Amino acid sequence: MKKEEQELEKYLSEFRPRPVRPLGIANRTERVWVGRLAAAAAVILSIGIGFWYAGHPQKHEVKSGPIAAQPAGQKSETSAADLNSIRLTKLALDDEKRFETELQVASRRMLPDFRSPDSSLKVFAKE
Amino acid sequence: MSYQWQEWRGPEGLDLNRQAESLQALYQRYGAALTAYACSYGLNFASAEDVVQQLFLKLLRDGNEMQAPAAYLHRAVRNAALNLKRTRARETELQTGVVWLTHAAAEPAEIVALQDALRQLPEEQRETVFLRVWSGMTLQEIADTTDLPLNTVASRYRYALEKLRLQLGQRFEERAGHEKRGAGTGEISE
Repeated sequence: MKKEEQELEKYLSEFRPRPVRPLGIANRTERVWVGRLAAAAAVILSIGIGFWYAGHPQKHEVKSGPIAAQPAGQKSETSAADLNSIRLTKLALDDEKRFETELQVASRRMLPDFRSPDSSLKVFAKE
Repeated sequence: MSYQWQEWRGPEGLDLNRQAESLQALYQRYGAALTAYACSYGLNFASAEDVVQQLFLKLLRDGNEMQAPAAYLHRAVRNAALNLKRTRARETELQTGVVWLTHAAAEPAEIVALQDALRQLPEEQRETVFLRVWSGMTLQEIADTTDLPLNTVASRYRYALEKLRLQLGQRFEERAGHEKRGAGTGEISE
């Protein structure tokens, strides 16, 4: 390269491109991370709540139904979800006694409990 | 140029975070020069910045392979700038006093004169000047990344410098002479 060309190149390189604003990718990646963090927190929270409910099923049933009257230690073998007609029909054919027990236990869960001191049936009976 | 696009990808496909970091590094290195390059096609500075930013965002989104980032980016910016110029013909016609180069000591008129001289260069010569002077590539690297013979690149660069020297004429001679005189006095004082 000739000397004049080198001088001109040096002259040109003294000029600098005007500074530019930061690249928007930084903001996008930060937003993506914030979104991922929020999603992870929501998942962890929902899993935690699920485990908490799974660990305390009796507590909620006591609050909601007359099963509280059931003696401790006598755990029901069925729940309302288990009472499907096919299963009950089979049980009635195979083991009638157990069928009666199951219905009796289930009825306490699903129907008003007249043995409770302030049950609606007792109130009506007194009146 | 040793920088390869393959470095942007993880072994099992696209790694967005790593790619974003690589794009950031490329932007820091070439962003200002690319924006100035876009301005040389008649865009105002804000539009030129947008063109460059959109290009980088598109690269992040698409994850296109790029063997020679500097040359690819300059080509892409040129195409985008020309497209934008066509669609915004009226806006670009009005851009006269846009400054996209800076200098610590030069008068604004000198900067504008250099910008005008760069604008008047043919596209391939202008690209060579930007790659060489403001993107810091050697002529051999430019030849490698643009798939052109070294002689072609060197002659383009030489023609470009010759035209710039003719265009800038007195301004360049004055500054070069001033620096020579300054260097001369420095030698004497030592």
